[in-house]
Amino acid sequence: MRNITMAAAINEALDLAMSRDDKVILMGEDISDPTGGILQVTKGLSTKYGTDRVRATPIAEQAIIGAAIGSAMAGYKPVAEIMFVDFLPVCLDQIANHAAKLRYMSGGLTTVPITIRAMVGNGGNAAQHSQSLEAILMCVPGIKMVVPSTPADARGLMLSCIDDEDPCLFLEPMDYLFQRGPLDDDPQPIPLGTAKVLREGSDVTLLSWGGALVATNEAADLLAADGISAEVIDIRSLVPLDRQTILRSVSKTRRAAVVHSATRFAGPGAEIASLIHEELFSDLQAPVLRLGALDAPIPHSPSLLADFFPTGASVATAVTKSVNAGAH
Amino acid sequence: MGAVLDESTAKDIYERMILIRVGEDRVLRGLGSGEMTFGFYPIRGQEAIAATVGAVLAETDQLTTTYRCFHDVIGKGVPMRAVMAEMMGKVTGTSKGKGGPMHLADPQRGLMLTTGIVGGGAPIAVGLGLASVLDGSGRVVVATFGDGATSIGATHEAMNLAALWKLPVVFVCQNNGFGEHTPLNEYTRTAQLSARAAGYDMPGVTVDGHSVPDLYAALSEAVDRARNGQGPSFVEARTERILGHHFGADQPYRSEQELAAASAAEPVAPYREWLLDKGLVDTAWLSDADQKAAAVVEDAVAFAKDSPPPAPSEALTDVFATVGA
Amino acid sequence: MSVVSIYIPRLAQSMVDGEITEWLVADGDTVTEGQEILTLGTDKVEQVMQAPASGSITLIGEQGQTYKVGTQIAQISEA
Repeated sequence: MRNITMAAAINEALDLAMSRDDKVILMGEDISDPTGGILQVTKGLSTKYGTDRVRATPIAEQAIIGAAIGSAMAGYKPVAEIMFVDFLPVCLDQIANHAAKLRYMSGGLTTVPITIRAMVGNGGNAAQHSQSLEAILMCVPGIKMVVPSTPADARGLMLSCIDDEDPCLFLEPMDYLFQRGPLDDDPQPIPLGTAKVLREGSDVTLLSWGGALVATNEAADLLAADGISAEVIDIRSLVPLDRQTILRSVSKTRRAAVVHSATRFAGPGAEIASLIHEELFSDLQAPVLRLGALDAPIPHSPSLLADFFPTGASVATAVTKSVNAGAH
Repeated sequence: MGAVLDESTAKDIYERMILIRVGEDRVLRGLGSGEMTFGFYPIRGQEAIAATVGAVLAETDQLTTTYRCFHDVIGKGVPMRAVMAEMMGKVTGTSKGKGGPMHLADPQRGLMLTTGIVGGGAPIAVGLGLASVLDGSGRVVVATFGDGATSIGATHEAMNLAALWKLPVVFVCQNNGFGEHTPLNEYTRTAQLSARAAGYDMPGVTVDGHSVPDLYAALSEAVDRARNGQGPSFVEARTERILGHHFGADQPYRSEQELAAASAAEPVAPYREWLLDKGLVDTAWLSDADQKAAAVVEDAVAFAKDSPPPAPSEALTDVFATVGA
Repeated sequence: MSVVSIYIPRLAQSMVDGEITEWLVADGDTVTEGQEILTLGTDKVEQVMQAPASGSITLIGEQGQTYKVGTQIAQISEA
């Protein structure tokens, strides 16, 4: 068992996939050596596999995704990097109007087995380099989406994304890329559409993913100190969503909060909260809480950032308040 | 140096062209009488370009096109039955009726993509070209689009990348002088669109899109370059958009004289004359080819009308590889 | 002998219905393909419709009435 960073685990997954299958190719800005990607996630791969298979591109997101789509339609398994999810809007047409829809529009004749890697943020790089824009593509049918929070999950989910016949968005939380975690020597794919229970509890279900898990886990500790037992679930797959795990947990605890780095208003939490309300209304002790970023572009000043995103304290406070308000 | 048309190719091009012309005329008649009701972007005037591209490419070569695509699609050899059925939303269409006139696809015959997004096809053509280079197949990719698409960023990103990676992509710009409802000189100061190619270190040429010999010379040269690993090129084919932007659209921004001139500049009749002049065909051959085309089109329309629509369950299939994924 | 039907056409994506502003031929008339047969009024513009075939025309829709797109308004029996 090794203790390595998520970035290194993703690198291992890419390396493994490329060694097993000639059809796996990479493209993106600055991904080849010596740079090896701006956070070195693709380090060493162009040296090992050559610059035919690992291509650094011009700054041209539409062409990068187009290159991935077209080569995938012709039999390849491209992994394209969009660096920051904030740049997704730059190539949204290629992803939303083409990659997501080609299977459907062609009646199943042309398919797009691409993986798109992008970093998601939790602030720290100001308004255009810190966002979590999952919701933009969750509402476009045809794109799968995962957000790992551990090196092991990153490796397993990446292996699944690369082999998936559909377009997959693999979001890398900036907060976790350099966190170390255990990684065994048995690389297995983790199926998409599976959430993970990080800790069991009985009083409230905390549903989260990506960078917001830091706050969520902290909140669970704070709540425990107050005698409130929180079950923490890492959603880790937004599309497809593991409805079963979510609903099974909330059926048990009868109280839930969704915690995410994305803006609270119209964020993915709205969909998850609605799902729980629709399915478990009569069992719930209180409405599902949603904690997310403030409804504003992400500011630069650290003083403004302090309370911009959910924190352990803000999540614990909200849950405690709901608990103290009594059962319905 | 472009190739010279031989008899067999010249005839092949006529057969594709007349099939396009008769097919579109039948569609226009159907739309005009309400027999057919789907959005349609007429191609009249642009038949020669599509027919020549179709004849120059092998069936395994690939094509990406745009929503004004009837000619490109028929020119590439996609069966008329499947095209008519798709446009009418029937399950026997190219895409089970789920794509419609703007999203025809027939990858077996190399029609990889028809997109409703202006310029959306060029980046994907780059990807198809990349695959060709990686798998060493020698496949050539034609990315065709209108002059309007040369304004959008995606086209430029694609051209730059194709040139950088020396991909076997031929960018065929069908310049009919209009970007939707705006004439070219009101949306750009560039007078000759092929001049932009040099900026990407790619050969660019402008040809008369109504002259099959000129088209054939330029396109076969570009395709040969691509196939021989010499990289991409840009062929601007000047043509006329005889009808409006879409079926039912007026052209209030064009004078009566301009419209009459555009109408008179259509390429089919001149090509017939050229073929007869060169002694490549006689009138009997032409008449026979015309009748064959008419028969194919009537059969296709009857087939499409008789075909069923897709079952309701089709609404949720092909979103992902497996339903409910 | 075949019958060609004429319906209210969809001339624009937003078009829902059309009015038979004026029949330019009478019931039972012999028409030739391309001949102007009616004026169609839509919310955008008035359009003249042409006969899609030659033959004897039977009028089904009434002048002054508005019909939904796709409604049959006439048919031509080809000689």
